[in-house]
Amino acid sequence: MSNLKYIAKRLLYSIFILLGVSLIIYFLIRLMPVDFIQDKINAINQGGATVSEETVTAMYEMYGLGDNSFMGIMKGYFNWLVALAHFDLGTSFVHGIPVAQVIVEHMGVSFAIALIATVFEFMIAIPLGITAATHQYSLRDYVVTILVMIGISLPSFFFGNILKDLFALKLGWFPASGLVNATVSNSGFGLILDYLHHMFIPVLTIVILSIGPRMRMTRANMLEVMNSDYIRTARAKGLQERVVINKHAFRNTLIPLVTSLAGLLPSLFSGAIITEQVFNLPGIGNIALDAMNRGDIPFIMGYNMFLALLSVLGVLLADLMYGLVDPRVKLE
Amino acid sequence: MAEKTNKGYLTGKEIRAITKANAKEMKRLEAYKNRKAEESEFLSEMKDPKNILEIEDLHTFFFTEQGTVKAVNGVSYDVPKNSVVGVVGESGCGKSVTSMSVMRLIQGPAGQIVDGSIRFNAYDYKRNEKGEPIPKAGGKEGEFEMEEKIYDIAKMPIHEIHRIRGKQIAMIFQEPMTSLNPVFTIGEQLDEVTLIHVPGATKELAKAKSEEMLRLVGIIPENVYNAFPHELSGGMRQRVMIAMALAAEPRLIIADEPTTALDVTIQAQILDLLQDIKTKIDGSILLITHDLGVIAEMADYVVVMYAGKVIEKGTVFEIFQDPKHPYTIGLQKSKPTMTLDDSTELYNIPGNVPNPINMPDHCYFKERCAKCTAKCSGDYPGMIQVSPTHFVACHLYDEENENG
Amino acid sequence: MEELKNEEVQSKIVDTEEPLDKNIKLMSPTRMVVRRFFRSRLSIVGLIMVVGLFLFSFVGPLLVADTTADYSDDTKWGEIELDESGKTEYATATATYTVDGVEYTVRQTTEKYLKDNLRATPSKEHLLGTDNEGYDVFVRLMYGGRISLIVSFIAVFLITIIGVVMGGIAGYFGGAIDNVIMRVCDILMCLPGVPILLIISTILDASDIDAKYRIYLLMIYLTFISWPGTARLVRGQILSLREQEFMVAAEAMGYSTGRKIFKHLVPNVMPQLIVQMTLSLGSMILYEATLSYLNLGVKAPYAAWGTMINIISTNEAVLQNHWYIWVPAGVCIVIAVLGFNFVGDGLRDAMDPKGRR
Repeated sequence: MSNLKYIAKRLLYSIFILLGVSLIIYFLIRLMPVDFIQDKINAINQGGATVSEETVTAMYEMYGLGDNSFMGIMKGYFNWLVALAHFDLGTSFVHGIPVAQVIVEHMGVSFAIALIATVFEFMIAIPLGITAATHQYSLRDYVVTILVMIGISLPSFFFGNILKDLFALKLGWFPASGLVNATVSNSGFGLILDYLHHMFIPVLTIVILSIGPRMRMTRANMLEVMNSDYIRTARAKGLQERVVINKHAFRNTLIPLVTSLAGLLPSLFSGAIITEQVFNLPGIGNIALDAMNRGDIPFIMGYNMFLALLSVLGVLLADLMYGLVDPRVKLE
Repeated sequence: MAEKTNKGYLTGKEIRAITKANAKEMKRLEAYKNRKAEESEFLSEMKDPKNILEIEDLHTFFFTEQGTVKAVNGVSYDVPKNSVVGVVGESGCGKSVTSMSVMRLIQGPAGQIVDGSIRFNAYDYKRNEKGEPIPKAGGKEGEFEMEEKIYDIAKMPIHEIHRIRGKQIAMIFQEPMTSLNPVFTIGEQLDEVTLIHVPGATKELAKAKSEEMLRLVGIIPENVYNAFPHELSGGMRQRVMIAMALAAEPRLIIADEPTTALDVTIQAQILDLLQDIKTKIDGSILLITHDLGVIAEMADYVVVMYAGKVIEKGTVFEIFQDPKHPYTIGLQKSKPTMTLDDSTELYNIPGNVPNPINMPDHCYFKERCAKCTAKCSGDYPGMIQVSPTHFVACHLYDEENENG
Repeated sequence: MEELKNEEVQSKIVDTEEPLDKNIKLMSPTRMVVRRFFRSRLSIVGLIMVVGLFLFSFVGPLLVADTTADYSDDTKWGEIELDESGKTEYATATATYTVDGVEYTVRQTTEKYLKDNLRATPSKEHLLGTDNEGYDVFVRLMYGGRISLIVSFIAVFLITIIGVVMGGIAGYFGGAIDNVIMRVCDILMCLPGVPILLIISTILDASDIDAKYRIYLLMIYLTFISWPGTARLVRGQILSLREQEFMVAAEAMGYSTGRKIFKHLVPNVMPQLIVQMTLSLGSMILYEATLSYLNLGVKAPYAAWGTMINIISTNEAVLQNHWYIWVPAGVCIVIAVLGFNFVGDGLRDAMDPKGRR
């Protein structure tokens, strides 16, 4: 019962936070100079037709961008909130379809890439972290630490481009951009293989960049656990060192790791803007970058709120997970 | 240079020298610890077959940046069969490090057993050529042929130590609050002991054994078997630790300040429990404490340690009724007693335990000693026998010994 | 048995010429930290990297680049000085035709005269060649370093100040103030970082701010979204410190609030704070570089490491054929971030001796 109460309380908090976040984002977006309407009118003008002053004003009104004073923006914000209450994120200016639909349509690619990358990240980072911790100060520890530190220090746009240059352009092993091979029509299994072929370098980029923090977290936790009294007890019981590490220590190291899994929620769905840009993938991050350049206010708003919601949920989920994994933790 | 402004601080040059020497020494000892060795290399013989544990000239050092800490510096004492040996001394005198050395739980690479031997009379499964235990003819399930073997624990490679830990020697730690793994239930942690030490043990057998042990320490198994450690009080956790220590029927239980972290009332209960267990098990207890009252109540033999050395040892009567070493005498006097006369001030031994880095050659207690003589500035006093069981390391008794 | 009173014993102790405690030499605390830091080879490597980059960026231009505005000196290049020496570039294209089943390959070479000396290969004159516009890459690397380092230092400095003040207030006073500050932190931490950064920089694009200075405004924004991390760290530390005995003692001594905060609490938070600052220097450099790469940070003709890589996002030929235009900038970013991370790590290990041998 108290758990439910706790969750309800946290949800209320989350709504409060999301309101604050949305207000800030909405104001920022309205201050953006990129003007979708102006672009549209320019396009019409270039086509030879002239647009009258009244039509322009009418168009601004239609898109709800007529009044750029403080009160006008506030009004626009409340309109957006009211629409949101009806589960309506508005219609994307650029795509001409509901924002929610745009997000859902492009989320798949981003999610697939992020999921594969996360699985590999955990599979590589956790054993590395444990071996570095149990062999503290050994050559192995140093090599692993240096390698992952380099990974942390690589800017994604730089490393992505290096991999692209090397594996796609120079060696030609993988396609340089996009998600499907346009010249061959594939279906079924072939299509999936084609997807994976295209995803390989982007996923590799993300994995190498993200192993570092996870590995270091594992190592630090493992070191702390290995110095605790209950590990001494486990050794005193006569357990083999292997069992001490893999059972007693690992189970405790797992607590923050599993908790951090929940914190990954936003990154699973939000798309990696830079990586998608480098490899020109039709993921949600790339779409958002495009929307920002073109002033697609409803989409930018919807996308950012989607991210904010995910990160609020991530924090909440992490807390709940913590309660689930660690028997000592009581949610209150 | 720096020495002038920072008197009492090490210079960079000195530190570099220390670090270099440490690294070499630690590397050598780590290699020795992790070596592969035949069993014959660490089999030994007892000096006195009545003993279960003989610690002889044990040196356990910690190689720190500030110098070598000689935490245990030539300690020798025995634990006879079916007895309780109490080790007393102030904090930092090396009593815990000695017991950790017996369990080989000293944290490397800084902490190392440098010299000495720890002979232990183990009662282990007799094994056939394949290394499998031989089931006892006509015995119940889980009963095997046994044999006695004497191991020198100090010479054992670290990967062989599981022969000793838990099965032969079990340990009860000072901090019951943190000594149980928080993510496993009490049952899981108790069962583990049986599962690793009884060959072919099933989960059911382990559970039955765990429940038996819990009942032995006065806990109703149903209440705690599926509980997590954090759901129990400190006293209960210490009982669980004791149950865990007993589960594999060890020949020696090391209790390292088992009551220090507990409330006074709980302390009494745990001591009663240990008393009770002492009569029930066929083994010995090595009780480490700074509390003389506990020693008086529990121990048969007493070892008094000071700054990494044994300064006096004997039977409990000898130590309490006829203490020889000025330090032991001081300890006795600093024990509060109920008297009607309020004016008597509680005695304290002046000064502090010396820092164990760069110890001098003379008696370590010299500066704090009220009976110090000219001779005390000389060499460290050797062990002097004052009765068949009573030994003291003090120059005051040199002559007595020579004359007698 | 001889009975001695405590006082007599005490007097005896004074007599003994050298008490044991006085005999021992210890390491001074500062020396201990310095020593632990330098014992780790990684910290030394990191320090060399950071110091090297500083010298490269701040002293380097004085030696090889023209720091004056007139660019009259022939042997030196400036940050925004075009190499207008001109050159002829040849481009070769091949095409394959099949006529009546026979394959013909036609190779066509076109000659083009360029006014500027673009994409020149590394030479004595241009150590790392010239870029797509004809600027000297090596010289621009130095100027780029100045921007990246200055900007990240300013941002980290501001983040620390705001973080310490806010976190300190929240942790020390607690109650409603704590609640308000922490909720603000929650909101700021929930803002999606990169997208909002993009929005802000488009807003800055529109305002008439000199390209040279807009990056500083971005840094102010970075400060704005990054201080909650530091504030939380400080608050957490102060909350746990407040419970400790020495603070209870300070309370009992009747110290003023200011004295309690600045003399007793802040010094205890310092180690973590210094480590956090060093590590954030690296992440600020990454942030700045990413923005510049997306052409939202420092804009051409001014140099920043990210800006120098930006060209490859639109020009695949440069990506493939002219590594010297973009790879050095990337390497500089990696060295800077890695250097700060190594130093930060070394400091953490040096100041927090837990789990150390």
